[in-house]
Amino acid sequence: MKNITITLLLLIIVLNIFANDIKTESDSALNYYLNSDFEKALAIYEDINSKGYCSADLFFNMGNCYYNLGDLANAIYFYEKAIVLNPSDEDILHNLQIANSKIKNKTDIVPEVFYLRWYKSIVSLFSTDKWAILSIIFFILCLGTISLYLFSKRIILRKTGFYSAILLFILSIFSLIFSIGQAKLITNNNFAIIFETSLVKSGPSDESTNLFEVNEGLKVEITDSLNSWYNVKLADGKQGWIIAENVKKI
Amino acid sequence: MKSILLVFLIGFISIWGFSQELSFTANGPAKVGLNQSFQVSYMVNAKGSNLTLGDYSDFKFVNGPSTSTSSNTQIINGQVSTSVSYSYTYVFQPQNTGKFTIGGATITVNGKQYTSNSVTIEVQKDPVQTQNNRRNNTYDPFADFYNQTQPQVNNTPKEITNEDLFVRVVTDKTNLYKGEPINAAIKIYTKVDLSGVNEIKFPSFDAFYAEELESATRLNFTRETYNGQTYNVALIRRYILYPRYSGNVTIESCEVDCQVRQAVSGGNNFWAQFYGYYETVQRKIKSPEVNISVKNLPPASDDFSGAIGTFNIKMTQSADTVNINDAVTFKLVLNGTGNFNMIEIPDIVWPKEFEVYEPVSSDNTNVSTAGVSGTKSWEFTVIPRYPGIFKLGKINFQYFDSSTKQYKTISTNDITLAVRKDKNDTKFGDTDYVYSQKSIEYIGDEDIRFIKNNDLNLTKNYTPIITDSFFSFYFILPLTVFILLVIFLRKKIKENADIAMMKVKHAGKVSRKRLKRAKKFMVQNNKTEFYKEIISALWGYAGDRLGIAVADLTKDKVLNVMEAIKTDPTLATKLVEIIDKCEYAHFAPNSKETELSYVYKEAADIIEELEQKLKV
Repeated sequence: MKNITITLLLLIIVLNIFANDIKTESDSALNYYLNSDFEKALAIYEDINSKGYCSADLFFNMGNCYYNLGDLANAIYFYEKAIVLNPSDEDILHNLQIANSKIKNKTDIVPEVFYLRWYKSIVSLFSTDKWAILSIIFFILCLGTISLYLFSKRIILRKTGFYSAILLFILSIFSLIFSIGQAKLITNNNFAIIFETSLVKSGPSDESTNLFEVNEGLKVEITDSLNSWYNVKLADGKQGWIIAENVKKI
Repeated sequence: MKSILLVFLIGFISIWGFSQELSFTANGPAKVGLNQSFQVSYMVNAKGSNLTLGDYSDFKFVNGPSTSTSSNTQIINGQVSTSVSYSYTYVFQPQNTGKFTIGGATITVNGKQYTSNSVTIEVQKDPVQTQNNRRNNTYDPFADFYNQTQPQVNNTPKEITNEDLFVRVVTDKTNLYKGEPINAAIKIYTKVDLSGVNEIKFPSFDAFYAEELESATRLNFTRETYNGQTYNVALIRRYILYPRYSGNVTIESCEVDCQVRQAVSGGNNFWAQFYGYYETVQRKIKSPEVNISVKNLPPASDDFSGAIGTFNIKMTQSADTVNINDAVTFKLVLNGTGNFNMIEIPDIVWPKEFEVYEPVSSDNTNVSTAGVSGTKSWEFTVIPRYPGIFKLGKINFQYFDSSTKQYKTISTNDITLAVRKDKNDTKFGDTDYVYSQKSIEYIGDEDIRFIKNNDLNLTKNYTPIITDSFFSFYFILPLTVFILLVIFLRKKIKENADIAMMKVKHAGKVSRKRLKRAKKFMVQNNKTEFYKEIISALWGYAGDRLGIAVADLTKDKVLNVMEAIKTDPTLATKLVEIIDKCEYAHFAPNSKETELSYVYKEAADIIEELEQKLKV
């Protein structure tokens, strides 16, 4: 018993030290950033990331470093990674928009059907974890209102209990769907950023006809892959094959 | 007979003459001055054709040939001999000093080609007077004869020096600021009799913007004193020049080919007496280069418009008050004297609420010796898109005043435009004018936002909760608790469901049963039992239907509950009133009688009414 306590204590101390370590690291990165030494700041953030840590804020800061170093492709890549983890963060959206306005390619985004647009704007209200927690909360509340319906003698309470139970159950299910949708973006993101100006071809081989050129920083959707080629789809609906090494999956 | 003989004789002589040896010679001066044109004559003693000159590339061809014929008949000892000579005269001009040769010319006589001798001419710097040079086009066969008898000095006209005839580029200043005008006049000064000007090579004015003010079609001489001497001066051309560069710039020299009429002295010369006392001499004169030093303007502020001179500025507008979306014309007029072609449009900051079109600029200038003067104007068409009173302030125009040598800023009046809103438009409030407020604009480009300096909310080896295997546990745990609760309390649930639901469902039925019994008592006229049944029907209905336990059943409670579920308050009070009435009749039987049927009807009505209202 005593041993377990000691081990636990030790573990807590070690974790604390580690946490403090990260804190000082990010503080020094902030200092470098303030002094416009973006490369050093970036190196520290990359070090933190290589230790297995990640967060929207970390990726956001890395994106900022790349942006200031003039590497738009990497900046957009990290902003996109950040936005996946925290889809409602205004700072990330703002910086991503600025970085996107600086790249060479301008693609006209085909307006989506209204329900898809609504779906996307609702889904991106919260991150996957927040949706998951919301789903659990809605589920528990749903059970609570069912209990109200079952155990109350008062008609009004029973009625409200019954209807809110239905509503909360639907909310819980939707939150769960949204959470899964968001999680998919993290675990298996279909989107990628072009890292090198390259020609998009009509098929997955060098001999195929050239279709169009894409420049670094452009976000594309990967719809298929073959050997070392990706079939990519642009925001305006254009499709073609590109060498996989020229793009980086988010 | 005699005449026939004569004709024969003449014919014979001419045949003899032709048969004599053919001579084809070239004559030219041995020495000439650099600025003198000279004649070369080719003489042939037979009629020829196709005279082709030899190589004369060292000289400039001026004109020619002028031809003349002379015949000479001699009668010596009764023998008549006639010689004919044809002369072709060409005029050349030297180009450089030195010794040059004009190659032999060729001529075709009777189908045969003959070549003349070549002529060597020495060109020297100073003018040389020679016989050939003095002669006008005609060849003088007697010249040689007279030359032998007349001393040459008598014939030499007065030398033309550079003081007698010259050309100048006269400028009004040689030291000025870049952008200021220079007044330049090309004038010819002469003391000799200038009969004409052949060819003028004007300076190219590469370093200037040159505007020609005046160009003489003929030379008008006026008397003018220069360097203490009086000259006849004629203006050739007048320019206004704007230096393009700063530093030392030069006006290149102007070259003029002049024809000077010179009196020939020596009255003994027969031909001179015969033809007149004058002959024309070609002179080439060259003006000295003029050096102009052009200073850069003193350091200017950013507002400097590039204008140099003296100016006035004015802004006019087509209206002071306009309706929204109506076009207004603003006209900026600049008048004065100066370098109009280099003036940039003054910076006007239009309010963002205005739609401003590209200005139309127009010039109305004329060039005079004082420089370019006139007006330049810019016309702006503006469409205000928002109502309000817009103050544009003054428009400043900075120029370099060439008289005070200083920068000067002039400005227009304050410019104000009132824009009335559309009467039907309520978007901008009630007042006619709205004082426009400035919206905040980005100064430069938008930049990215600063990095997050919090603790970064880091998570290690992050995976979404939803992908965790224990995620379903969060659902299963509360569900299990719930199910257990349901199992444990299922009896109560059933009771609740039964009692509550049944009572609600059957409230109407039960009360109707009681009313039926009350009706029976009414027929029997059993007042006590009747009221008892009516009261219990009403109370029972209220209790069952509203879910109030019998113990809690009071009039206040009934009123409260009915109020809570938002039933018509008049119904609630009516119900309570009827209950009151019945209870009063029941417990005080001797009171004022009411018709039983009437009470019954009232009770039945209220129950039916409530049943209808509460169903929903």
